[in-house]
Amino acid sequence: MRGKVAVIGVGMIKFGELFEKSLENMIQEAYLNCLKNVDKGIDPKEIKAAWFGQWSGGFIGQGAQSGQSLASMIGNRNIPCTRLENACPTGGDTFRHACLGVASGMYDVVLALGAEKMRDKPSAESLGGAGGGGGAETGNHPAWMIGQGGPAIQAMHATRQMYELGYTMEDFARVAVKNHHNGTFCPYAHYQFEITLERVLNSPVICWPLHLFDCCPQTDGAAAAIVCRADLAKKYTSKPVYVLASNVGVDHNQLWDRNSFIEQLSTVRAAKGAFQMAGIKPSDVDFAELHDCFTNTELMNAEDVGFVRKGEAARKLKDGEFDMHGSLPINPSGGLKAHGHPIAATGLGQIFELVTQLREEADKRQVKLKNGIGLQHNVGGPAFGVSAVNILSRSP
Amino acid sequence: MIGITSYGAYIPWHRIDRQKFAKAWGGFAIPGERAIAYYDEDSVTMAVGAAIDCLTDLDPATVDGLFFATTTSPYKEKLCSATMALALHLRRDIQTSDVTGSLRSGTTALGFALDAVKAGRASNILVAASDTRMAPPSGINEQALGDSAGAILVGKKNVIAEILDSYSVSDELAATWRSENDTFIRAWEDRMVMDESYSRVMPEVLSGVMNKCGLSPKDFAKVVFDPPGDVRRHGRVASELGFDATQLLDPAGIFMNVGLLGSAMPFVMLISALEQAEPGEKILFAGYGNGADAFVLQVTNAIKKLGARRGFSKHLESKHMMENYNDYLRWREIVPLDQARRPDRGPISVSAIWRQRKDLLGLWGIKCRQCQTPQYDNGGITTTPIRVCAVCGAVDDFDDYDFSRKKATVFSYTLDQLAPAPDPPSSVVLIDFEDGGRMLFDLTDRNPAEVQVGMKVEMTFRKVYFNRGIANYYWKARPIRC
Repeated sequence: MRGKVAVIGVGMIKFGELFEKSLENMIQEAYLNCLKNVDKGIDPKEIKAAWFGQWSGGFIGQGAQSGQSLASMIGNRNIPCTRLENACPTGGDTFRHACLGVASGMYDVVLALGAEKMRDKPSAESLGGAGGGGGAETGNHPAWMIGQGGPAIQAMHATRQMYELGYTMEDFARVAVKNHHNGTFCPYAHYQFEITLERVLNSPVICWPLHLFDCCPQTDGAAAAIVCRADLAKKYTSKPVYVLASNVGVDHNQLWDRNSFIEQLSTVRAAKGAFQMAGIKPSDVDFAELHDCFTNTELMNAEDVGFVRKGEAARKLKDGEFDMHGSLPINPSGGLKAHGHPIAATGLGQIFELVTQLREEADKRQVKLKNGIGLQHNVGGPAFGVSAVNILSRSP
Repeated sequence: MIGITSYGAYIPWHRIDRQKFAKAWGGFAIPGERAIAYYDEDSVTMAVGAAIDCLTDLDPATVDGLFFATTTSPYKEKLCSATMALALHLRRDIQTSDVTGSLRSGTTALGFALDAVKAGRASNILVAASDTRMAPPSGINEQALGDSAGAILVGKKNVIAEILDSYSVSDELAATWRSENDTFIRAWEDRMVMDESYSRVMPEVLSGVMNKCGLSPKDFAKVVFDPPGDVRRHGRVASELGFDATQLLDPAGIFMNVGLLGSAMPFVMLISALEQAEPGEKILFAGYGNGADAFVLQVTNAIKKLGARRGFSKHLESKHMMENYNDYLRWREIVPLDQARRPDRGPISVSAIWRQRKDLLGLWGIKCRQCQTPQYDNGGITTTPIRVCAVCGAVDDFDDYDFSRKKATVFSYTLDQLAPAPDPPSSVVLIDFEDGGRMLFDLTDRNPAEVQVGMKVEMTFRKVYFNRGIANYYWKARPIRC
């Protein structure tokens, strides 16, 4: 992968509860923003293939289902177009497939786009209807009782983090405080307001030990990236960003088959493979967008990716090392917590953030770059058994 | 020798002080408390609980038949005993039958079991009687009834109480009834029912069986028969027949602590008597309901060898007092409630639950012969037969593994405040079974404040939900009861 693929343009829309926008509206806006972002210009006809990330398909009330829906929406029906679903890492994996399309030598320029309409149903239904917890995905199987969805599953991780690592509710809450602060600087973020530790801890308990403000919101959104052959990148942009690695890791499909609940082997495997692919170490990374669907998950991710040792994340966070101007900024975009989590758009939104930061166009939230390397990460699935990691760099 | 070879009981953990009814509706409260089936319990799950207790230390494969006796079957059409047989790990080549419609369906089924063993059609028949009858809210019967189950194994080997003879009387009267369209029991005027039916039929059947055997009241150490709605009438029948108070298994204790238990009442009373019985004693036993069935039992030396079980007395002691009456209305779905803002459940796939009936209803998993890891599922959700070991990759090299009787320890948990649980918070536990295997379950019969990592739990058969007329049964974890 390294040296073969570059990102020449990224585009997204402001994430949020976009009741006034349909899935099609969001997709077209993100696509057009993405074309505009290619600073030396691109003829849309130069895009020779497209991957469309969408997690929920038709079953929570949005119309798009298969590849042809994206082809129609971008007005380009002469190219192969594939819909891809891979749980919460759908966005990260859609980007990976676009990269593989280019790295294989099959295409010169391709599009990766992810979009999700979460808010066409009440929030409880859009996740409950499609995710774990007795929804459609589980076929009403009695082994999955109602209620055993994302928050309950991450809460059981948090319980073990408290039990084994001595983490506290305050440790989790600090993630929310940091990410909300970062979100105030990001014009695309769903939430752009500060919160305090007290507000997190005084918010209602959703799934013990997780409070309301430990959970990411349900968000509508779309984001896209155009990737091309690395040697052609300068034709399209003066600031190409290169793909050093793009990987997916998996673990058991079922929660109860997993041994440890203070680590997610899907992330460990995705990150380890990605670092090998890139030929770099975790310490070479300047900043990261980690999948903070719940606050405790961000701490676990920082450890599983390899930035800090198991059990150290809470202290490093408290010491400010993961702040926007700390030694390793995590989620300068505001993360899923503040920026929002429109499933398939989430990963591509993180790619947008990486590219924007690496081009030093992130304005008030610009992090300090040393090696010019950023890392994007998602994790999800019924047992958090699938993870995507992409590593991008200013230099090839 | 043919007779009872084992017994077991089940009383729900939840009890309510009858004062709560009077507090809600005004008026008079019967003294004492009653048992209330939890929202995930029904006649089937309680009968399974009693039957598991009855099969303690026994091999389920030796059971040749299962009779389920109830007036509150969750189905008008569909055999509950076939569901129960899978939960109990009984063989396939057995007789299963639901005996319903009468308060004496338990004693009637006991007679059927006796006949089957006598006739040589079966060596061991399990009879489980269970009821969750409902009376209209605010009436005295709402306070008086109780939910429970009792199970009796009839066989030829290791008989603890020989059944010497039996006698039945049939009597037409609409004393209590429920039509096809009734949720709650209806009852005719107490005094007429007791004067003209109970107080005539019960002496008739008891005298009938004594005459048949050439026995008289003084020959019996205990006389065990169920009371009518007015429990005092029970003692009057006994004394009129010439029994003295020391011979009587007084139902007042059960009535005061558990309630009137419908078709389970005679069984629970008999089990309570057998727990105290000495070898050589004779027990006169009867059940009433549109007539009556009576039996003469003789306790044998084998009763001293019967292994420890929870039975009536341990289940009676293991209880949790309900905080309010509203929970009863909610659990029994008596009043319509605000619906949780969650998507409707889709229809249950009958093909999916049929395909996986062994692992869903029986909680069977597998144990890999190569790496020795017990596992419940294999990548998908519970799809036996499993072909590939999730741990070591061995192919087609497994033994069946029974998780349902294993104890376990809570590895992690959460208390979900948002999930639409009938008794929030929804308590979800990841548990590690003794001897290996991890699984995710709902935790039932729990006090949320006491849930913690390391808590010891056991498995219990429950109704997960009811959807489009199908009761979906599965297993839950519960803190070890006693």
